[in-house]
Amino acid sequence: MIEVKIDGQRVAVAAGTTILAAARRLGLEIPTLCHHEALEPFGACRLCLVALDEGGRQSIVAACNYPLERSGLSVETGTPAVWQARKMSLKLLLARCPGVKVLQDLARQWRVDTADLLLTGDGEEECILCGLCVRVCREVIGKNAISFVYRGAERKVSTPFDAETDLCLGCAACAYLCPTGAIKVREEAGRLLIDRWHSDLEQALCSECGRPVVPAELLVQMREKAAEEGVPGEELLCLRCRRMRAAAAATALPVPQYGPADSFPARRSSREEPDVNQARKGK
Amino acid sequence: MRKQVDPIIDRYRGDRTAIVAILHEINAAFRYLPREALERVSEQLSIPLSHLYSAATFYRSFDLEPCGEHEIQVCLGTACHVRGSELILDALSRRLGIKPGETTADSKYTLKRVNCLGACALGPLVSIDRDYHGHLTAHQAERLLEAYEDEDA
Repeated sequence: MIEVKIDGQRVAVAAGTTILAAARRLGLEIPTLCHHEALEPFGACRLCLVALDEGGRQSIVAACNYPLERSGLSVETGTPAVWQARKMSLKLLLARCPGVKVLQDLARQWRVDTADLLLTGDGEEECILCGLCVRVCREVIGKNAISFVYRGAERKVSTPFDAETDLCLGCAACAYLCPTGAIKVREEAGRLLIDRWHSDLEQALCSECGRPVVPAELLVQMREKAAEEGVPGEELLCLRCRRMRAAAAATALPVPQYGPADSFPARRSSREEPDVNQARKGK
Repeated sequence: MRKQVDPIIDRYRGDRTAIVAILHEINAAFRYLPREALERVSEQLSIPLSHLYSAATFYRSFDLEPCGEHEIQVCLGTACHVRGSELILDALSRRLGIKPGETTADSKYTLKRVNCLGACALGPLVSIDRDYHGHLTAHQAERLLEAYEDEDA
């Protein structure tokens, strides 16, 4: 364990812990767009910049991928220099992607002056090259269907040869993690389409109503994986039919009776789902 | 395809860090990186195709389209640029009827602009198939092509 100081607070962490992880342990907020707990840090968005003091040597570093290796380091997360650097990073992202809401919201929140913004492209680009999609496809899904291709101003995320690839299963983990909504997944005539990856996938159908539910190849691989882990394969149902079945099964049980509104437990933190069982007990 | 690609892969067998070297050899053998060759490398070395495509598009020295018999590189590094290499590129482009990065219809020439050939003292500089021609004017550069045309005639 090593001991470091973040915004004046001492914290003991294992050597190699990133500044971001240590700061979050203290409940300090550091903005990020390209970070995800489940993935290797990448340091692409540069919004998590902080000021590091290594015994007098000052520098601005990305908190998400800077490992704290020894005691005595001191970090400040909100100095004027830090905010100046973060605002510049945000402006550079906006110069590439002026139409992206998450960036516009941050600009408003941080009072970033965008009057002098010079666009680097046509203003239509939505990808900030954060690499979350590339990393989730590689590290979690294990398919490597997409990667960064070309370089400099032409750098982008794409499939091999910018063409359709059978490596893309249509799991849409990339779209789920994309902070800007640049990856659009749509359904058309029963097929799943991810235009950015040129994916056009056949879907497996709900055994009850016949609606498309999930890409067929993805289902095959999910079932294989489930079987490996000893989970029995289930009948494929769409969300609606699954609910209908659950509701039909539930009608056999007595309908829960709630007391008057004032008997409900005190309001819980908005982050947690309201606990129905708790409400029942409060009757 | 396999007959040509497999020996190259074999030479680096097991070494997944050698992808740039492998791609160089394939590029030299085919005068570009054929898709099937990259697929073969991916399959043989268990390197995702997306990684190979990443490297192939990152480095300027790889081509994804077949190149011509003669590769003409016009240096547009700082030293060559200030000595007017842009004019040389324009002159060659006009003469060959292709834009930089393109190959003539008869597959004879590929014209490329490069950022530095590493011989700044010779600028403005053009290399044709690794032969370096320095201190050129646009006119002299065009004359260089005549030599290649005569040779093949």
